[in-house]
Amino acid sequence: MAGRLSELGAEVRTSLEDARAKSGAAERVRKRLASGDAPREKARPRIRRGVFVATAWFAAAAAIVVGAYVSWPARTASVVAEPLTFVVATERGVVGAFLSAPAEREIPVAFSDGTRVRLAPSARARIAEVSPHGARVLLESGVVHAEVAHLPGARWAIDAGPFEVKVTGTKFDVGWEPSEAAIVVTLQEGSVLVTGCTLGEGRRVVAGERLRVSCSDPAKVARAPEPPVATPESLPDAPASAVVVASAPPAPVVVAPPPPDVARLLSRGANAEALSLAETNGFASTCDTLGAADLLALAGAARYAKNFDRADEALRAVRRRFPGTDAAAAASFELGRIAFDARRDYASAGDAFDTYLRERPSGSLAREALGRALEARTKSGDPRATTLASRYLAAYPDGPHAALARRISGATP
Amino acid sequence: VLTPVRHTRTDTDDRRRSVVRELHPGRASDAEIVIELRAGVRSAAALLFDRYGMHVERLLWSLLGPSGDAEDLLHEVFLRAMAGIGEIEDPARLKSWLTGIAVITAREHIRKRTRRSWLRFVEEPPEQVQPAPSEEVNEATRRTFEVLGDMGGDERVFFSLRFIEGMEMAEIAVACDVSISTAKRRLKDAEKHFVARARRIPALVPWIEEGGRWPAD
Repeated sequence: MAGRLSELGAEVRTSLEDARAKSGAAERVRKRLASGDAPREKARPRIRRGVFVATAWFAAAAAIVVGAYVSWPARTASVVAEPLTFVVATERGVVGAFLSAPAEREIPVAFSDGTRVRLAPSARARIAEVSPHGARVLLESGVVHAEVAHLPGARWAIDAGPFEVKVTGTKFDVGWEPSEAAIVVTLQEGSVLVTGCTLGEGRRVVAGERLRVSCSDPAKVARAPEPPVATPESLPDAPASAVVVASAPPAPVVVAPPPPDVARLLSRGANAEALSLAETNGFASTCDTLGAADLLALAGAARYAKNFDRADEALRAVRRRFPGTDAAAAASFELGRIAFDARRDYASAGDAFDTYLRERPSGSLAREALGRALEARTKSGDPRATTLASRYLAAYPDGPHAALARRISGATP
Repeated sequence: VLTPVRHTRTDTDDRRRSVVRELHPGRASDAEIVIELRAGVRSAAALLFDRYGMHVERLLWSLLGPSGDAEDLLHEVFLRAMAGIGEIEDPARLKSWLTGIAVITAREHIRKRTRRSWLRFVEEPPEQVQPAPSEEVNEATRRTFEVLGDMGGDERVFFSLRFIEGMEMAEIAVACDVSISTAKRRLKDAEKHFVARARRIPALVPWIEEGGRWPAD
């Protein structure tokens, strides 16, 4: 029974690890520690109505609680959240300062909430405003690539000429060509709202799409090219086969949009319905249109339904369409789990975990990947298990696979 | 009452600082970090967190599950550690000392929540921190923590440390400040109670009855 509980525990651990890595809590706590913040005061429990009469004792106790609550001195100091801070390359950033990336390299800008903005070579921009929940980036020319941390209440915007790109949490590129007054927005994950000039109420751009619009030309919306990185040179030319031009005033037409319902169902956790709709729409074409995050969610939905072939297909689509990204590495890890746990194909599992480790040697799943690679190589009788065991012990001497690693390497505890 | 270490900069402090700052963070030993923390050098707190933050955070998640409280507790563990840094007897055992603080903090939290849920007239306030990403964890995880939530705080801790965190019995004994034989006894009880409850939950039955991570139909 202990073995079965250990297997359940391993599953729980991996699942928690995914959620923990996405929570972003560690970075916030680090910041609070570094600045000497006091512990956050939690909301005071409040009294539930209608149960005071349960007993006289509880009524009296409740009365005391209420009395204490009412008579407690009101808090006079309101908590005012601090604006985000940011670092430009290695220097502390200054709001409003002019940033100009040299022609041969980009400039990274890291915000304290985990958001990352990169100015592509030759791009010019300013961080015009910073608030506790986001910032406003003024793009003067060139391309910026943004990965906005998905946090409650996040408010980010990128201004480019007369256009504004409103963001909550997503990954995208914005290019601005002042000479043509043209903006190009390319979405890798999530969605943004672009407003200004001829766009009227605004145009939502979702993962996998590229919007190009200028004040003089009608909007063009196309599937994002792969790899989805916009460059100033690419601004005028969207792929001819995929572009549909709408007439002015623009009512942009989307060519081959991702099935939005699948993404929406996944975001609501309606896994079975999402999977069913993906099958109805055509699973392969769904895999060709969803963003990376949604594809991982679709793979998870398939896995929960024990439809491992579909999970496999969605994960391979992530790796094919978004190479080199965190999502691609995570997909490799999930492929390893499926090969190991569902198919008992330990050789393939070991290869998949190795791929994750190669692509993200210090990623959030590195400990699990190394441990699972060790397990897989051991089960398949692969001599590489010994090397993995030594590597595991060197990196995680107290980790959950340390006992196995010691057995294999012959190390003493 | 927890009081964070406040560092008022003085000339003496400047002279004291800082072995850690001058060393590459990866090369500073645990003992050196402890010395810096005892001297009140705030930058050492970041170094301590960089080295052991992920370990403690993982441990808290293993003990508490997908709870919105993990962030505050992570903060609390490190504040406690910095406040009590003078008490550590062997600075080289910094990690296991921190593990012990994390376990104590999580146990206290579980007990507090249990007491609050017993006092039915007190309603838990909604979480103000990051919402727990419960939609991101799978069914087996959610059900496992439902079962653990019905178990006693101590039993739950022993079970989580062994089966979710994957710790060895000797490590569990140190973290919970009990003998190995006591740890084994408590774990045996926890295992028995968990299995009895889990058998009533359809999503966990295949794990208990059949074994295997995603048992095929």
